[in-house]
Amino acid sequence: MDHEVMKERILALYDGELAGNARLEVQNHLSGCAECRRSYERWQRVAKGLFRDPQVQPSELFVSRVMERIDALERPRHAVPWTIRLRWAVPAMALASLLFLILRPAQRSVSIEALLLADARENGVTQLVLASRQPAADEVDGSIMEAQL
Amino acid sequence: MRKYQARTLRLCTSLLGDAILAEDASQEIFLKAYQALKAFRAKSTFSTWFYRIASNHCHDLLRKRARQKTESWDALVEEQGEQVQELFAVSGDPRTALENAELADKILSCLPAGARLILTLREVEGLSYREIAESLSCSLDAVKARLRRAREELQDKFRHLLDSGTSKE
Repeated sequence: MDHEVMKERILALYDGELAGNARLEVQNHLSGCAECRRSYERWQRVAKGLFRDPQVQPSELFVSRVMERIDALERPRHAVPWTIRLRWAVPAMALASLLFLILRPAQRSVSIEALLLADARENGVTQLVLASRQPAADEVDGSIMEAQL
Repeated sequence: MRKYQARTLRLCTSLLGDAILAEDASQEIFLKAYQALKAFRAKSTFSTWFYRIASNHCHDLLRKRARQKTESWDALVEEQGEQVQELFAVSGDPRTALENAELADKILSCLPAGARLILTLREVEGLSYREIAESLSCSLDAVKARLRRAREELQDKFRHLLDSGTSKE
């Protein structure tokens, strides 16, 4: 069998990834092939030398440290919204008030009477406007009717 | 947390070779997992999902360390050839376990970060090819190829020490 193909299968055998006939086939090859056996043993020694269980000791102190850090992550999440809201609310309200003050007089000047007067003026009825006084409601109605006729 | 504490610490210690760095890294991994918990969709097992976070974090740390690294395998073999040979001897002396662990860390730190990570997941953590593939978000074939490449790189680099060690015995 091709040694390149076999190399991959030998590593799969070493990693416990082969079962049944595939496993038997590679084991048979290994027992009959000195080169592949040497390669297999070489890796066993490298792995044994380099990869050892570091024997760590789990501790409650570790758990409490992580929990403290999680608490610290959570804490600002509750405190921040009020400060953020206040920080943005003040200039937002000031801006809104300013806009309101600027726009308010302009809205007041556009009344229905003024619109009707403008319409009447376009139709040649100017005497009411020249009087520089606010026309009475019946005067406006009369001029409109004249204009329409 | 208690369930994953030991294996996270073991993975970090194996990869970083330093208990204090490993503890810091483990804490970061738990924090990242906590923050990402909402994104866990049970498409894989919780264990695999957790390993993915741990692997990514350790991989980043290893890459940062690799940038600062100056030592090479050739220099290591030249300076500590005998100790390396002793490390690979069939019957290692348990009295030199600490020195051996430091030497092993030096040798492994010369490997590319990805190679060290995949070898550790397989050799220390005992993950199957499928679990490694899910943890590293790659295919089974990629796992096999990467493992093989990493192993060949190590064996080729130390072949002369390994073979001379065999002929002695």
